[in-house]
Amino acid sequence: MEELRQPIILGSVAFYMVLCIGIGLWAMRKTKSAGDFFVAGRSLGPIVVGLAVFSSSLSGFGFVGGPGLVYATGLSSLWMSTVTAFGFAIGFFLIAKRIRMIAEVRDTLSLPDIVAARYNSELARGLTGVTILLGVMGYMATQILAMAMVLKALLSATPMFADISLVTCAVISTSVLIFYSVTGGIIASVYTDLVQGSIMIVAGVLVVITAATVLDGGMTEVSQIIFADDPEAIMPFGTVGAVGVLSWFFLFGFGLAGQPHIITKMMMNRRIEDNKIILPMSMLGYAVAVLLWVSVGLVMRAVVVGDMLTPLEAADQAAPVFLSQYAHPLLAGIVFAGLFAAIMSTADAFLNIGAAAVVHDIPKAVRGMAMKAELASARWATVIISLIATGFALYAHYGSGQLVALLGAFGWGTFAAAIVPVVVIGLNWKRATRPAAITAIVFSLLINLAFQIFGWSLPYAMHPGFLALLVSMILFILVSLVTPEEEITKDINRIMEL
Amino acid sequence: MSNAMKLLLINLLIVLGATVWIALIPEPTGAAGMAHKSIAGMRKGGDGLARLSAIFVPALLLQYGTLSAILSLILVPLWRGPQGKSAAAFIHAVSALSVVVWLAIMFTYKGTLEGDDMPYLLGFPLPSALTVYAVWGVGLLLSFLYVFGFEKYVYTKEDREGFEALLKDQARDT
Repeated sequence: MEELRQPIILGSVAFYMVLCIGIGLWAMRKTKSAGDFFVAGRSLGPIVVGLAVFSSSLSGFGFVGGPGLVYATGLSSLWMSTVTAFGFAIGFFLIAKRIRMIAEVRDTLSLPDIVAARYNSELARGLTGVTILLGVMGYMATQILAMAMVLKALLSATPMFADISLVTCAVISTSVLIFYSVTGGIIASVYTDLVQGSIMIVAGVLVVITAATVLDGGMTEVSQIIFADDPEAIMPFGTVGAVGVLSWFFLFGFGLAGQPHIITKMMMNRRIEDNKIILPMSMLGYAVAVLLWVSVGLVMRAVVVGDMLTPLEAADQAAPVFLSQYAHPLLAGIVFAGLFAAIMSTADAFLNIGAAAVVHDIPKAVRGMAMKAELASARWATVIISLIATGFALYAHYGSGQLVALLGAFGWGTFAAAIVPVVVIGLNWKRATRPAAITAIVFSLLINLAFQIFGWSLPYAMHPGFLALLVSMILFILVSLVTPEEEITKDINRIMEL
Repeated sequence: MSNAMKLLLINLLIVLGATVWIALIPEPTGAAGMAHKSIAGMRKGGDGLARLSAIFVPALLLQYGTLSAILSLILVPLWRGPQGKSAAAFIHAVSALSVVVWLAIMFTYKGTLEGDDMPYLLGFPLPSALTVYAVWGVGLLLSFLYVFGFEKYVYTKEDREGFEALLKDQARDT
């Protein structure tokens, strides 16, 4: 069986990609309007939405960058993963119901539509659209880089493709992504999410079992080996230390509810009551995937510091090397397909909201109407965004060599700081005003961009996204209190009463 | 401004205050970790006690403020109507439990660094096991409230009737 490892893995990944292409072709026939392309006509059942929310919230960041971060920094990134339980709770308690209501009453296609409806402001719509577009670029680059790195690790292990370049791998994997995202829009996206989410849960459970059995003493032996090398690595805050990870606690605890690709899915369910099924399904899937994130990273750190394996070339290789070294070939095949599933499910969601920003939100804010031939324009925008993000990913990789996970965190931080106050608080607090929304978005963009552009850092490794989110939330509340109270449109006001 | 919004603002200001306090404390060596001496790409935490001692109190404040801010934000839509009191009571109970869990994490962590013998629980040293399992568990409690209290707190009969009336009015107007 071992000699068939590579063919099985490559076969599984190829089968998965063909499946995605098939779903894209099937969804193309169902996609007849921009409404179908962006929000699937608000007709999806709770299982589809639940798995779509979970699979698009966990991405290459979780499956590749996450284990890499644990390998590099020990348990620090627990404060990115376990605390998202709070993020899910915030998202569902505060906005799932209202977003779905506004989507039905105003026939909205995107999150900036919701912002424009709440604040009766085209400027707020435009700024939200720009924020989404910028964040999408950062996040898409992460996903594309992760896909290319996993594919390269797989193909370069075969004699035929031993010298394959990262660029070629980026082109292959992005082509599949573009194909089904362009043909089937969000319908292809959510139905591939259904497949992807199922694969991720199965893969997650199997990998956690495998990880727990790599060493005879199970996870306790893994922890003891890490403890002997550096106690801090296996302590609650990892090598990053308490303050740095508490800033992640703030950012990721609040931030999940500010991710536009997740919020947009809250518009798509058939009935509001379905939310009570969607939340636990999403959380269950996420919990399994987090166990994979943590266990794979810890096992790889333990075997390296315990001299059982040579050190990895890069921390992001933790998951691929784990699978090639310790997983049964059949399991490795499923999990590699699961890795692609995790990455693609987030990427397609980002492509969709990015395309909405380009053809719908920003034109509406600037000239009062969306682009003509909105469906065709959305398909072109999807291709263009993918190509730009691929270029950005390759530049980021060859130019800076940063971890995939940290590049992803830039996108996350930008979204969280701009959207949590404006949407999450704004839809639950009538006193929130237009100037406050605009101030929060502008400051969140400025702070995040300034830290990226000037390479600033905060003491004790506090995350810049934490500062941006904290400042934007406080500013949002204070500016709302000092600016005159505004009248809210009648229908939105009635929804905010419910 | 509702009580929940006031709580949210106060807790955000606590987080801001703790952040400024921490920023004013000189960083000890390896405050955010250091490169592993023999393994490229891996980091070590080094002297945990030295770096924790420097910021222990403001870190507790940062932790408390963050947790309370998150839970007070969840209170904003729940603390309404006659049923709001019981929802608020549940969230306050979750808050109290969370504070206990968070304090247990901090003090068992500090104890381990000071040389206390810590048991292993489900594969992890006790403070880490609390972080892996109990933090997630607190989040799960909130999900239970959402699922089992959906009709009582989130989308009540009155909410459903109000939304149906809105849709009817909208259809009539157009």
